Amino acid sequence: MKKSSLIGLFSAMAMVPALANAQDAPTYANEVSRIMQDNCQSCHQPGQIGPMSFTSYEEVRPWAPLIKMRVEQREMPPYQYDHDVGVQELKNDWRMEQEEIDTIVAWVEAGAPLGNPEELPPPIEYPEVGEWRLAGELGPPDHVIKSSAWDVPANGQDLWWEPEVDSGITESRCIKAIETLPSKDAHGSTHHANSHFMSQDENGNWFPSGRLSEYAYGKLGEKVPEGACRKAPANSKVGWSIHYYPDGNAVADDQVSVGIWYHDEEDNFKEEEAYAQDLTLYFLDGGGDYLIPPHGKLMTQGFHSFDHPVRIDSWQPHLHLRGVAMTMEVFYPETGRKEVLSQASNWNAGWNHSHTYEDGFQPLVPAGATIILTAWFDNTANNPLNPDPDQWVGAGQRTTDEMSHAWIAVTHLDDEGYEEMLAERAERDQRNMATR
Amino acid sequence: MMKNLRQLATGTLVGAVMGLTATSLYAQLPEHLRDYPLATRGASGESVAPMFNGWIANEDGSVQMIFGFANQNREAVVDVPLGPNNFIEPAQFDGAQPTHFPVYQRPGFVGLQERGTFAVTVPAEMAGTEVVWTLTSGGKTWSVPGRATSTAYEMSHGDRALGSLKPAIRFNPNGPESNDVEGIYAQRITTSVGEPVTLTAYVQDRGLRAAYPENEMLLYPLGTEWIMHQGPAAPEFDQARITGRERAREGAGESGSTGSNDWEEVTTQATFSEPGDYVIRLRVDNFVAPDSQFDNVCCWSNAYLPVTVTE
Repeated sequence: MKKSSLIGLFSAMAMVPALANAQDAPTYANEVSRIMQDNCQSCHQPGQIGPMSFTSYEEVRPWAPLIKMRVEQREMPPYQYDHDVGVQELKNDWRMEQEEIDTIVAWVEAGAPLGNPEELPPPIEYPEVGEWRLAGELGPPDHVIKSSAWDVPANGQDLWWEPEVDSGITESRCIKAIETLPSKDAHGSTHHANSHFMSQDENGNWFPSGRLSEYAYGKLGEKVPEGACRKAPANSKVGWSIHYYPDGNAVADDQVSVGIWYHDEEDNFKEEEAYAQDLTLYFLDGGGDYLIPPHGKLMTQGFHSFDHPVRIDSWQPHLHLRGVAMTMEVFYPETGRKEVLSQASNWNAGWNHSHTYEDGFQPLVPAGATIILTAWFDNTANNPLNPDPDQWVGAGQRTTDEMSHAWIAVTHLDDEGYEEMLAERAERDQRNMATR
Repeated sequence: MMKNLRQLATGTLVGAVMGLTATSLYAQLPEHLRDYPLATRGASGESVAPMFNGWIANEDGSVQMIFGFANQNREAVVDVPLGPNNFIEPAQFDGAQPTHFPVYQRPGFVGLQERGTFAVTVPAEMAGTEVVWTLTSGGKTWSVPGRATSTAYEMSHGDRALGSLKPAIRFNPNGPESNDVEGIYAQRITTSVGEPVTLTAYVQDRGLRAAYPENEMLLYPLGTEWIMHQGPAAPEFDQARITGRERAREGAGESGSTGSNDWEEVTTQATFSEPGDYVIRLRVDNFVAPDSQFDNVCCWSNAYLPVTVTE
């Protein structure tokens, strides 16, 4: 009892200076509620994947000290992308502005006051689990392809469901946006769901004809940038690779869906002027040519180059439980210069973001330059996701095995297009400098 | 304007180039990423990693522990006889492990791993016991515990996404059967150095596939591989490995079949160059089935043939 009283006393004393400044401190109603809406509530609301709801002051207040700690350390919102190196202009960037973090810290240190309830913003309506996230912006998808129904068991080991289904696509068209959507009931056990097109050759044999989509836990949809065409071929099939990791909930007849939005007339999209874009898996160390020792660490690398200039539209590291970081660089052999394009030095397997560069800021890579991917793995007890640091870890499809690759969306340019884009950027930069 | 352009080079490099890269990137890396060694493998001199693949809780309370290995050399095959450099504790499980460690370079994600080489069953009365495999090679000793503690390593005897089960192996059509990685042992046979001996087994695909119309077949052609598990020197096998796809080309497998298929006899001729005691492992897989892959830890079974080779 004495100990508890003392702790309470010290806590109260610690609050004195903060309370003295509380008048000037941010309030939940005026500032923090808006930050929560913009950065937290899409996951932290009833039925969503956040473990607690943050839709009201009453819900947020008990968690205020934890929220402060998480945002200060940039663990939340969960968007593992370094802010001090590489391209910083990203679409759907979940990272908070430093000013927002400072506001939360000041609010918590002032005792997390509510403020004037009349200043609260109106609540935001979010899509339910199992509803298209991109629908708010783009409307419902133009075309939906579902995997064949399958019974997901409640328990047991990792399972892979790899059906092929008719795409239902009757006309080849360029894709504007794609979203892969696990069902509401199985969203917790759908570890990944990849899909690719299959087309028939002249002899009637089916062959892979391009990646449709890649989904891993925590990932949102993907928009194809302007001037690029990721083709959805007519009369095709879609091959699924769905990895279920049972989470205690049995789901009968589960189906994963992929929604496709096509360009419409308002987009003023001209296919004949667009460059081909694809989403491809780029291996590090051959995909399986590495082992991580017990209580050990490891770094893997992969090198890729093209005989034509390319634009990198998005980058998504894919590692498993021991993966902790990945970097993408480019090496220019003519100058010997090397440049970091993107770095996620605090990556973890809970969130698989496709980091999509903003239009005009996608890295342009000349022919012959080398893209260098580097990944880091921590098989020690310091890695909180490590299920057993006493084990050797090799590559494999199970969650407890490792993977070492990146999904990269690449637009394949010609020299003319490449030079045009360089010139546009140079002009933009010059304009910006002049206005400063 | 669109051009169908091909990727010039997609490859991975190791060694000097990696070292150069790591050094120049170093300055920009956060401190917590600066003490990581690069994945490199020598042609020889590397150690063999004993690997715990997972555990299965049996209905009777016993627990099966499944092990494999990865020879980290790019070229050198490693042999480590049973004894102080290759043993399992508790001692009652010692002797099930391999002594011969070939180099593997498999496509897909498995790479250099040889999974599900052997398994042991910890009886219910020993629940909680860890089975530890210690292996010394390349100047390093690794002790790897098999333990039934993490669900991340839990596996199952059950059917896969489209009903595949582990195939069955017998050494006598009416004898005991293996339908598991742990396998069965044949009666010891004897031969002499340089004298080819015929090794025979009977195999049968297994699966609960009727419930899944996605299956093109209810029974798939099996792949087989004869592998030296223990012994002083690798024998020569006649057609050591025949894949299920190769058997399919020969007409095996029954499209639309619903009944139990006949046992298929599989044989090889083994010729030994050194006298001694050997154990030959027969691995049988149904990797032609769409839900069965080496990557996915299912479905294959083992069976073991002890052979004594005299001068």
